[in-house]
Amino acid sequence: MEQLKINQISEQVWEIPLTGAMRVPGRIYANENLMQVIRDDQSLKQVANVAQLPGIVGYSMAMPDIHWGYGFPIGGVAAFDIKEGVISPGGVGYDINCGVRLIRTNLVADQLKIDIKNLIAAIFNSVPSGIGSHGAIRKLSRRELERVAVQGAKWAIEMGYGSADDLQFIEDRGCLADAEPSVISQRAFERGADQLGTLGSGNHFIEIGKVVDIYDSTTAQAMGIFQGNLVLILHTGSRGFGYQICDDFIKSTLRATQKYEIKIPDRQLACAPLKSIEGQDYLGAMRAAANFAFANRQVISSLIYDSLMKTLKISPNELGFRPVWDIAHNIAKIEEHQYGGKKSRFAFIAKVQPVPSVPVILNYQKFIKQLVNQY
Amino acid sequence: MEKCGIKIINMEVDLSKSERARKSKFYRIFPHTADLGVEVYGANLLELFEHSALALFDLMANVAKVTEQKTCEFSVEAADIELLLREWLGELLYYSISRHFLFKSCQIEQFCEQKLIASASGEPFNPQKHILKREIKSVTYHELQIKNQGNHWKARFVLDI
Repeated sequence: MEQLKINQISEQVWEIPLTGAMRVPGRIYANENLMQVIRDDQSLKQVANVAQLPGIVGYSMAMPDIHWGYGFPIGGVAAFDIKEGVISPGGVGYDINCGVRLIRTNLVADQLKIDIKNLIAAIFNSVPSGIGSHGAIRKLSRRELERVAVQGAKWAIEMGYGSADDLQFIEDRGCLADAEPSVISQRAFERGADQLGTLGSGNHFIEIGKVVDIYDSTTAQAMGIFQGNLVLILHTGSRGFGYQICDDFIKSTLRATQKYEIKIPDRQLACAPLKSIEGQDYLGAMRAAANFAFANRQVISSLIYDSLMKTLKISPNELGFRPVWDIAHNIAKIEEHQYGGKKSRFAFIAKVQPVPSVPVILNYQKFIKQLVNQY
Repeated sequence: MEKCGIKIINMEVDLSKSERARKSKFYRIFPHTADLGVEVYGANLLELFEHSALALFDLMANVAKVTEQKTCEFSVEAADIELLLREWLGELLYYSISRHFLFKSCQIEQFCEQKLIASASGEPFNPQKHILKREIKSVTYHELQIKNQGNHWKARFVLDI
């Protein structure tokens, strides 16, 4: 593998200087120990590849959880000029709006009146998990799925999964505007029809946790989290619906890449200009998949709630079950930011959001510390 | 082959001893941090495409327990040979996932650089009988590669898992 030049900017910031077809430098946020690991795979080359995409602004960035993905590195974040930039379905990834929900309860982990294995079994029985998992709720028709794709978590709440109060704790209140179901293939609808409310496999999980350390008591109190607290974490996304949408739109953007004469260093980075019909269609479909994922986590959350209520035989007030947050880490969004002395709109692609990134979450105790520190 | 009308690819099968050995282990997993890198070998391009499909089946489930009850037909087109491989594998994966169906074998009937007509056989997934190994979300385009290695062909692709 060719060695990329890396300059250390500060203790935790590294730069890949402009080389070859790169349009902007690469920026990696990591300490020395992490960098030793990062140098061993191809993720830095992927940071440099993303830097070659048209309209990229500032830097091709990588968060501390950077590792070798496909197209974008995992941990990769990039902003694109709304007029000159591109959108890349492979950059967002197959599991559109893969995300994490943290749920708090009133329960003290060490004072559970039942064996925790019973809780795990109850959740396992009510939330289908594993390869190709399906059948959590009834199979949805195309028309119903279109409503899910437009309304997101709100659809789930209207169907009785959870409470309207939950929405305030979900990113974008569980719904991205301007979703466009009409550009989505029949294949995607087929794959999504029986998968709403399912966890899937791979690194997706439901975890029962105990809060071990509190570093900022004011923030923790605001979040409703206390020492010894039993909380739950849910990690899943848009299931087959999102996978198929990504697959379909990589194909169409590969054609667009040729049509608009865009040079890409890796076919997985196939992209279309943001303002093109291909780019707009992908954004509409991606938002629909993101809404499916918000609805999916809302349904699963409600199934978990039912399992706990049934197993613990306590009142809703005693349980005190509610989301703390629900945040996506594979997503693209149009946002307004101050850059170069003026306010402008940019398209952001993030493969993993900086704060609730998966490697941090996998180390549960550290995650809570990190989370509390961020508030 | 002739029906494709594009470029006919050498399909002669003349396996040397080492190639037979390679055939017995027709693919390997190469290290990839988050996903599944697959390297497949074949004596010629046609065998490479068949072996790639067999590798996919093998990575999805315990194929030894799958019987060939039903045969499905596939017709795939793409702009070049590497994209054709991805399309071929993508179609097999889509069918398998959307129909809850497991494949065991495949046969390529017509083949050229931009088109492939093939059949694949297997049976519906039965949780009492079959063990699924992993969920494959998609066949990615990342580092998709087909190379002539002199006396054999090699393909590399990355599966999103």
